[in-house]
Parts: sequence; structure tokens; C-alpha cells
Amino acid sequence: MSIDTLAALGASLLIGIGLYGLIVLPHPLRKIIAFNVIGRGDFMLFGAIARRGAAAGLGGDPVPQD
Amino acid sequence: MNWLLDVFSAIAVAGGAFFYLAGTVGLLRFPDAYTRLHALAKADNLGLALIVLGLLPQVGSVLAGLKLVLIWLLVLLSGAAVSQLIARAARRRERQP
Amino acid sequence: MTAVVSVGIVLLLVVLGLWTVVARAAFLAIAGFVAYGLLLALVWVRLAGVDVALTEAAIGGGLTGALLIGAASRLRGTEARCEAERCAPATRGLALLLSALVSIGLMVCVLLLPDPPPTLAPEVAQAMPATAVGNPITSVLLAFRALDTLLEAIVLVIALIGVWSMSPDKAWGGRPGSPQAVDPNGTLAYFARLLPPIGLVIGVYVFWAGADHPGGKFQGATMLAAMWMLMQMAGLADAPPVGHRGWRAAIAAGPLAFIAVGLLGVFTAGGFLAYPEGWAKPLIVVVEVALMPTLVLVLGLLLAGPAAREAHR
Repeated sequence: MSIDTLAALGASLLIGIGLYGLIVLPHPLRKIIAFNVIGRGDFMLFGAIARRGAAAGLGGDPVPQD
Repeated sequence: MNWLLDVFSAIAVAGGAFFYLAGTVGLLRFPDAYTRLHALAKADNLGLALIVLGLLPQVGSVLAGLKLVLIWLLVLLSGAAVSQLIARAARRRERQP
Repeated sequence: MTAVVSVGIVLLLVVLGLWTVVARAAFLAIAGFVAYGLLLALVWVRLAGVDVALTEAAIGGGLTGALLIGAASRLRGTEARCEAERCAPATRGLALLLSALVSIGLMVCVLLLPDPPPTLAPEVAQAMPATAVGNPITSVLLAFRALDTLLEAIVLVIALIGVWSMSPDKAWGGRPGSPQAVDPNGTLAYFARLLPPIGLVIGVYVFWAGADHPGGKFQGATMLAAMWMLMQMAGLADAPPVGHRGWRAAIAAGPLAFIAVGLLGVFTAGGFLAYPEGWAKPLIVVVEVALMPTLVLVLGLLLAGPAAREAHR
């Protein structure tokens, strides 16, 4: 299993975990932390998709990386 | 000659990893803040030094090797300063029950 | 062999994500979150996104961690009260179901992604020589999708205004944070005298190298802002007053310069933020140099927080 599929699957898990934390945790700061976990998971998902677009000598498709 | 350098790198990085393991075990098992800081300092100083030493034969240029050494020195500096600050804060907290 | 390392890192990431959600206290969750950010930077390097890895390590590991720790120390007293509001088991069950559905849905989408993957990399590689910039990420950020970068900078300024708006009325216009009573010969002061010159050189280097190597203004600005924060924490510099016109002008100068370059493009190249032939590299440099002080000030002031001391008029 290549790194990008692995990272994408891990990112999906992390988004689910963050969502659970966002809904269930009572303290607002913990909710914000869980929201950031979702956000980072999103970015990782984008990164995995960008890696799949590696072509023309570039390591990954640069547009989703931004 | 190249395989000799590779063996040296492998041994040095493995030694560094061992010190990191020891530091983590110390962090988890030692009883109070001061002893834990002591364990972490071992990981920082010796562990990272061995890893950098092991990676030095593998980099392409002298400049990249110098950058690795600079990274080690910066980690040493910040580790030392932060350990001092944490230890003093722990001492202050002890004095005020 | 590298597959084992990849699996290990992703597994560790998922465990850390779980830890930030189930940890008992906010400080523990923040520690886990900072470690999560740094591991994520490693994953980004494996995904061939070194620029994003640098940004993730600087902002996710450093800036966000510092912001969260500041917030947690201010909110220390409220955690006990919040424990009383814990969710009923039925809500937990529903939340678990929803999260599981979202995760499984995303995983199915990931496994069904089209193969060969559609990509814009060939177009970017073709168009890059026109911008005379060696790093494809920089060319996308500042030439092909420059509008995104402009809006990001403006969003940061708006966030800063939001933070400032939380100042208490009588402190409006004053300096953020309480005055530091720090030993001028102590460890922190020594550290804050030694590290900022090194950090300045590294930050400016990362900014300048972003044209052809991984790096860029965002990563460089974060490092410079961190050095500034270190000096403030050690008492060697004081946070600027929120109401000061000069500082505000410096913050606004970056996006305004960017917008000015964009309007220039309307008259000379036919579109907002279009660069005329042969002028791409100089204009990109102008925009980067203009945005850099804005970013440093905004990131540093975001960490400093809302005004807390009365303004001296």
C-alpha cells in the first residue's frame, strides 16, 4: 500500500475522530482542538491527493498543496 | 569504502535511537520533574549527536553537513534553556504549597 | 522497509489524534496536539510536500501550540465546571455513529479515486518558466493562484482585528499582555539574546530561498515572529500598543501593496493580478517583500493577544 493511500486512509480516520471530539467534548477549548485535528486531517487528505498527481518531474501536483 | 561508511552510519543512528528510547523510558518512569528533565537531556544531547554523526557521511556536501551540526547545536541550546526554566518553575511551585 | 515506517507513522498519528480527544485535561490534549502537528510534518515530507511540511512544523507545531497553551492557562478554572455538562450516553452513541459513517465514507471515496489520477502538474511545469521562479509551489502561490494568497493575507489581518476586539474597554489602544517581571540576567533573557540573531538569519534565508527551493514568506515570517515573541517573553522588547497608527499602517501595507500590484495588472496585462510579460519575477519579489513584514507583525500580534494594559495618551 503506497504512502498516499495510507495517508489518505489515516486522514479519513482522523477526520472522524476529530468530529467525535468536536461533538462530545464539553469544554470549548477542547472542541477547538478537535476542530484543528479535523482541519489537519483535511490537509493531509489534500496532500495525499496531490501526491497521486505526481507527473512531469514534480513530486506532487502543486495546486492542491496550496 | 562506501559500505564502511554505511555501517558506521547504521551503528551511530542505532546508538542515537537507543538513547532516545532510554530518554522516553525515563520520561515515563521517573518520579518527578527534575529526574525527567535529566532523562530528556540525555536524549537531546547524546541521542541527537549520534544521529547527526551517523548522517554526516551520507550527505552530499560539506555545507549540508554543517547545517546538520548547526541543527544539533540549536537543539542543545533550546533544550538547555528550556530545562532550566522548567526546573526553576517546578522549584517555585514546590515552595508555594 | 519504508512501508513499515510509513505504516508506523500513520498509525502513531491516528493514536495521537485519539489521545487529543480522550485526554483528561486540556494541557495533556495540547501536548498531544503539538506532537501530532510535528509528526504530520514528517508525513508531509514523505508526501513530497516539503513547503507544507515546513509550514506545518512552524505553525502547527509552534504557533498554534503557543496560542493553545496561553488559552488553556487562562481557562484553567473553567474545566471543572465544564465537566458537569458531559454528554448523555445516547448523544455519545449518535456522535460515534456519525463519525464512523463520515470516516468510512471518506475511506470509500479514497479507495475509489480515479486511476490514472487527474493532475495539473504538466500544465504547471509548462507555464513555470514564464514566472522565472524555480519552486513550483511558489509559482502557484504567487503567480497562478495569487488571488488565494492575497485573500489569505487579508484573512489573517481580519483575525488580528478579531483578537483585538476582545480587549476590555478601558484597555483599548493599550499594549497586550502584562508587563514581564523577568530577571534581566536570567536564563530566559540569555536565551532571548542568543537565539534571535540566529533565528533572524534563518528566517530571512528561508524567505529568500523560497523562490527556488522549499520555503517562502510564510515559513520565514513565522520564524521571525517567534523570535519577536521570545524577546517579548524575556522582557527585552515590549508588545506594541494596539492603537498605534504606525504599527497599523505597517500591517496594512502588505495587502495594500499586493492589491496595488493586482490593479497594475488590470491596466497592463488585462486582468486583476495578471503579470505583464517579463515582469513576473520582479513583481513577485515586490509582493513577497511587501507581505513579509505584515505577516511577521500579524503572527506576532496574534500571539500577544488582545490589549490588556491601559493606553498612555
